[in-house]
Amino acid sequence: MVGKDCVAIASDLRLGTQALGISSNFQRVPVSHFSRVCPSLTICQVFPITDRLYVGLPGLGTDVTTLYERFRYRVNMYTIKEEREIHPETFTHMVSSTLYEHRFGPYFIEPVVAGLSKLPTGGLKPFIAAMDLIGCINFAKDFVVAGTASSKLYGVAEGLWEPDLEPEDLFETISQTLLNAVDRDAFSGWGAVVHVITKDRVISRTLKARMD
Amino acid sequence: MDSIAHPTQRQFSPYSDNGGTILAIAGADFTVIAGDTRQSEGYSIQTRYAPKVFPLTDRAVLAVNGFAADGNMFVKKVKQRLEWYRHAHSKDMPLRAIARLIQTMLYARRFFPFYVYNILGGIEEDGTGAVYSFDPVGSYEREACRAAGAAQSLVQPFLDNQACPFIHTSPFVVLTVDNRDIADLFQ
Amino acid sequence: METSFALTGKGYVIVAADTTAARSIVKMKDDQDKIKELGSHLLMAYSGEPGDTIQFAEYVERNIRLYQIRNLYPLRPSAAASWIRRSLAESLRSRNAYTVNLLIGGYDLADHKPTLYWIDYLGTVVEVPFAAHGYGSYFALSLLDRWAIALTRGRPRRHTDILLRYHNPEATLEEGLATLKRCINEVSKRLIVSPDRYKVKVVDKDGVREVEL
Repeated sequence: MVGKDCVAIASDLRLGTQALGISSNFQRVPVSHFSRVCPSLTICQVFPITDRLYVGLPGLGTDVTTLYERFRYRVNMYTIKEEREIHPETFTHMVSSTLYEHRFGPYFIEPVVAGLSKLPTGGLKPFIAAMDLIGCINFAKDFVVAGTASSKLYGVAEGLWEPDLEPEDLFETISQTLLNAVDRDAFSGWGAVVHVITKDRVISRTLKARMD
Repeated sequence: MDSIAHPTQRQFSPYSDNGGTILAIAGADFTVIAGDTRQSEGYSIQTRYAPKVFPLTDRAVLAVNGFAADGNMFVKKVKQRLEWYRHAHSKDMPLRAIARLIQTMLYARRFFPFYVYNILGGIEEDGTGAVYSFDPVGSYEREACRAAGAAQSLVQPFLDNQACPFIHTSPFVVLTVDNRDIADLFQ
Repeated sequence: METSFALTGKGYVIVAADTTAARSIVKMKDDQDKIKELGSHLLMAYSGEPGDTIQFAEYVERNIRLYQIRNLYPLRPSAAASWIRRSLAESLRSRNAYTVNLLIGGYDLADHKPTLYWIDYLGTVVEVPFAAHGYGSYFALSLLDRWAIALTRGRPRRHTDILLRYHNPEATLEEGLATLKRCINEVSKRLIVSPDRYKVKVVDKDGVREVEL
């Protein structure tokens, strides 16, 4: 979700096979995390890419790990070669082309990217984007959603979101949106994390959620 | 040589989905109930004005969503039963009785159901606002708010958030907010 | 039906797997060891498609050993789990994938922590406090959850809660084995095709060993 000089990205924490929950805390990456479920085995995780860029990877569990490892490798190589941090726009196209390489045997992931991109003037501009599983990018100006609860997320986000929210208000909006959507989705929930990315810091919070 | 009779297959598909969405919210002493008026089949719009929310009595309103032909017939039958009740008892049927009547009527067609999702809204005998929601074969429940139809998955979690903040603690909590707050949700 | 469990406790991981080898409705063997010792401090329980399991388990065993021979130090449990996951993930999109589900239990000598990884045939890995595969998982996971649920609801800790607390990451080995027995008993009681024998192995700071229940 886009706010005033900030963006927020949130995810639930469930990992499950169909209706069987396996884990409610899929933690391996420093700082942040994951989430939830779909056709066979699904989760979504939110990973930090740079200080001002996060990616959420909802979908098939194995592909979440595989893609995160690929992106980590490619971003590291980019950073070394270019001697600068990758921009959210560039990263989004990197994700998109990685997915499109597997056009006829795709990774079952619908990524969500959120970050602050640098303007030529030196300022920062909120940036969000989402993709389908073959890499078609949706550069939205307001909010993007993905995962098993996507239609529910759309409904609540459409009702709650408004332009130019301050970080704390954006946090409330994205949290309420996520919690109320996943509470109506049998395959999502079991905890949630929210990251609000602002000019000078990232506010990461774990939400108290229904565990049933 | 082609004189052998080939097996023939026939099929009968008596149902269709006419789209649309309905919803209702119960308040302390009121209920709001609404539905869109578009009637569609697939990607074609049949009409932009085919209401699916019907007043039954002074204190009961029924919204029907799903297969429009079944919906209209079902409302007609419910209204007929309510009229018979009025003639027999010289009063309107109370809301909770209407809810049970609808269940009975739906379940009577258990093996050739009305393909209709019903939401019944109104005022109970004790004056409280109430919403009852039904599945096509008559399972029903009194709730604080309910959405049904094409946009159910979008609207229901929003309603949980905005209209039924206490859903986690009480099954059909009654709202005590100002009527205008509820009206705002529909703008 | 094939079932395997694992749970962590204070300084150890217990891994248990049934010992039956079945073809169709026939039990061919009832003392098969389905837990490989991948190193001095690493255990792997495997289950799934009969041919695939042994083939894949031996492939993993040899490669993990090769790493140790080449580098003179073994892979840490987290690194081993990552390597095994990648092998499965690559296999998944090959012409014939291995259908193998794993539980990796290890004791990390670098940070002195017992770790347990749940891995399925798709290459999904997750680090968990307890895990299970097969039909037994439907019973064992809910049983082990009881403790977590009691805590989430902020229930006051009473003496009787010890009876409810089926999984405790701080439990002693005796308590952990008792918890494992509860899982096995529950499966025996409620699962139609329940296995009757299990092999149980433990890994802690002293290495891996088999224990009798």
